[in-house]
Amino acid sequence: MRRITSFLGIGMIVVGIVIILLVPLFFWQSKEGARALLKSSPAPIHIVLAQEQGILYPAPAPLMTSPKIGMPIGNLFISTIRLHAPIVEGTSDWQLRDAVGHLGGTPLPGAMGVSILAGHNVTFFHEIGQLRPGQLIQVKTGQGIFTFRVLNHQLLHVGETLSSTHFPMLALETCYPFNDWNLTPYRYIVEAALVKSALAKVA
Amino acid sequence: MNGKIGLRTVALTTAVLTVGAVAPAFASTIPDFMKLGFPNIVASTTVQAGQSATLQYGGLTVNIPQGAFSQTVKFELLEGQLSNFVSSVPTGQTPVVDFAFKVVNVLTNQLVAKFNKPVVVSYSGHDVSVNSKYWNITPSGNYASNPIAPVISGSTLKHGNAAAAVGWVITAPATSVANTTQPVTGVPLADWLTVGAVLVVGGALLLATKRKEV
Repeated sequence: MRRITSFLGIGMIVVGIVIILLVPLFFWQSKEGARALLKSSPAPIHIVLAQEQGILYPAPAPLMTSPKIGMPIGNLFISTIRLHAPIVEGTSDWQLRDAVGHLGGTPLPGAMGVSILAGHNVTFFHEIGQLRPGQLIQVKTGQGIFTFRVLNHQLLHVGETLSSTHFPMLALETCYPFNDWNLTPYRYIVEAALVKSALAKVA
Repeated sequence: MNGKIGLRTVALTTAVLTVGAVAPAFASTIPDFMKLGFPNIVASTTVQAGQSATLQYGGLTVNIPQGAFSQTVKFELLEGQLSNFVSSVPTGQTPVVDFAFKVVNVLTNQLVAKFNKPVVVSYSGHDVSVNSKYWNITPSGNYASNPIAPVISGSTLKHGNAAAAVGWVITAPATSVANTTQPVTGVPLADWLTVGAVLVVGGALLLATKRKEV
């Protein structure tokens, strides 16, 4: 009995320590995963053509079917919060651990409509609450380089939706509050409109 | 079919005449919409006194009827970035196109606020539906309901404007972006820490109890 108690006690301590270590491991994996994605798969842009800017909105990226789940689709730069993150297709736990995820079913960034990019509130999107109207967000994908201007932000409860638009829009989405180390029922959304585009030359 | 077209013509005529009737109400102020959210000239023409003219840009066509101006004017069609009209758009709508007029008397170089006859704007686009709406944009950038409903036929919307005291935005009903909040963007790190801590403390207590018994 005493032996069992000893094993049980030691086992509990070991398992407990392992579970606690999952927290720093998560942050380390997230950082290393993003670094590897940024290093190994830069956006496959060949030649970027200068585009005459449209009046109602800049030249949008052509609509195309979503890439395969997990496939890198580009990079996200937000200089005001010093964010440089890879973007992958999909928003599962695995995809969001290492990158910002593009929500399938929404257009790719720069195309007509609302493109949603999701990121964890404890990693990539921890500071998107600091973004203010007028600040710029840049997305580089295989379709070109797209610059968005922040319009506003809103707080949605899970189950609520954004409204569609008739121009290219980007929505950055993360859990709220930003410091909550748990699952939350609120989503913080930063909405930004396309203000400049440089489309990649179609091969 | 002919009856339908006739009815639409009557409706449009009524609309433009009514707008013409209310135009003097706007005449007291002559805003320059190039400085009020519509900075780009997308089409321009000089309209000789009494003559008609047509301007076109994208899906927009502006028909200036004969006699709309008794002096020669420079008529400019203006547009601005659509995203400038998102923040105050009425709930449930999304802007599809925006435009304004800048009309200048070429002799006096003064802005012209009202017209003798309504200028008919026609917008064609796949995003136009029977639920599209036609809004005035005030010089302060706010949406105001236009008293005259547009005439919508298929994917074409028509409306008469007898003044240049406001800009305009055509909207379409906004649809929902499916699965907007589906991504799980939180991580249960606090739960992991709590469970881990409970196990460590529990294990330590077990060992301590055992030692005490020894």
